[in-house]
Amino acid sequence: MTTQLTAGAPSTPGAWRTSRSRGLAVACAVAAALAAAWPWAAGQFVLHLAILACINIVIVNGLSLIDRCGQLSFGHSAPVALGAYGSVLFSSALGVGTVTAAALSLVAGALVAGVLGWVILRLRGVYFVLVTFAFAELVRLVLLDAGSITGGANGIAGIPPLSIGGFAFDTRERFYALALALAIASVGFMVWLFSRPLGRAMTAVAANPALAESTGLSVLRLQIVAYIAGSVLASVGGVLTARYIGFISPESFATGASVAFITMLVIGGRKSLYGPMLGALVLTPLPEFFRGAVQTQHIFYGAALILILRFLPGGIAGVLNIKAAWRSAK
Amino acid sequence: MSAFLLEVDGLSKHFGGLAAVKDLSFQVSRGEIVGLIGPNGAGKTTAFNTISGVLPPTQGRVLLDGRDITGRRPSSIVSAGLARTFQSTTTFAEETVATNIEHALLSRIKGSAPQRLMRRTHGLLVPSDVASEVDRILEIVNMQAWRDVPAGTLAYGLQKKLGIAIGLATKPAMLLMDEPAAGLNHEECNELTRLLRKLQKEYGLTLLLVEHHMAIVMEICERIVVLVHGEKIAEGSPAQIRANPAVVQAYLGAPDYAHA
Repeated sequence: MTTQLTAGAPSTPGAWRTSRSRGLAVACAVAAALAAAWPWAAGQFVLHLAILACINIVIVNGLSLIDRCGQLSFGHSAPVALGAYGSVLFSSALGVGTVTAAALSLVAGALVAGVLGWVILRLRGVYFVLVTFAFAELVRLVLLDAGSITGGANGIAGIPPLSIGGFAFDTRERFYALALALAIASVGFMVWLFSRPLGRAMTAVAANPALAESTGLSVLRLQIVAYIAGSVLASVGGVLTARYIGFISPESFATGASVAFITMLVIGGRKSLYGPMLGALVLTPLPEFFRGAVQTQHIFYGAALILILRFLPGGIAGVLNIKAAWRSAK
Repeated sequence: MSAFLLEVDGLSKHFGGLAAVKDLSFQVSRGEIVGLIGPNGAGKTTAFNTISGVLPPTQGRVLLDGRDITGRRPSSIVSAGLARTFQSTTTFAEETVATNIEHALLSRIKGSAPQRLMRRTHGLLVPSDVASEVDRILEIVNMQAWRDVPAGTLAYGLQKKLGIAIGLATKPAMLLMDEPAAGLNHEECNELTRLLRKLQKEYGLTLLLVEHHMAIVMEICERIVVLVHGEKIAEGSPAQIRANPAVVQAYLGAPDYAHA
């Protein structure tokens, strides 16, 4: 360190640290690119898990967006279900292409979120949590009871793959490219949004709603915007789920799914923009390791959640941050 | 331009059968410092919350510069030019002092999404001016030294001062202050008095103080409105208020009550 200090301007400690951290960033980017490319070489099973992880990244980013504006949704499976059913039903009812149907389902999802949000975002804390839970149950029961349209408990099978201009995403290799692109885009969108005044206003609303309101920020309007954007992200995940699995039923969007999304958000880290990604990457493949213990896997989940909440309130992203802080302090 | 900046006209607020504020009327002129005082439970805070839009009034109107702002959302009232501070320390505790001010500037940044959402029409900032506006506001309240300190770690008095700075950042025509002196020590009270005078003299700000601290109210306010049991019992200069028997009785208690 002393030699660095006595050397010329280009190698001051600050510059040295900057060049080292730039090297670290490049190394991280290369590692991430390799990790993202690895599923293509690792066979169908890994590809399958990677696709599911990418879909979950998009959905949990949507949940995180709503959470970052100060409201926790306990019914995030509802916009996922609306996206999934919407894209399939629009295409069969209107005879439009899969992409048009997907776009229509996202618009419909945004409208539902806007109207619902305008009503329920006046509620705070646990009341909002309960209402979102009730709405998700309502959506599930309607899907279950409207059998003539939705196929009821049998669901809808044989959903054709997504195709853009004649190019069908009908293999895992192709679909992974799409899911990966959307997952990266959703993380990029979050990073972009929360560096903009709109995202910062949402952060202010989450940090102190009464104070944000008294600085001229309308808490209700900002939360409606966040709720619509977060629900649309969830609906994108729903479209992908329907088009990838090829089968949807109301049970795919039960309370367990909403709990899983919250678990991913919390374990990944609520405070970090990368938390949803980390949570989805860690928790999506996890059930595969508990295959032999299907009965007990929820016990492991519950125990993991309790331990994380107790000892790592910042989640996985919090651990990485602590390490980064420790490194830079050294 | 209206004759008065703020007109409160027949304002009432009932909670069920309880009338917390009854038919309250008063006016505040441009550049004036007015105090709203009264014993505990007199309805000061209810009046404050009704004027600032936190509670919808049961009856009556609130006019800001002649425009009716009754029943509008707090954010909309702030955008119209009437900002407020809080009684307790209210900051974005995990953020630095500078970021606190930046948050308070968000609805003023020209062309930004929050600004378009809030449709604010005055006091707009171009994005490149945000940093200098933060510096300007920190200078007004003399808090440049704490610029990069997390707000939650500041001493109580400084957090209250940051609350005033956040209110100033919205570029209000008028600032409503909820017990600005509560919890401050003697020296901090003196500094608060100087700051409020400066805001009035140098920045032409109109102030309405809801305050318990009699010394400050008597020293700084040009006019005082006294509230007892939700009703205005007196209004006048500090000297008139001090000499008013009804006010003295309300504050010291009538003999009947004292013996009860």
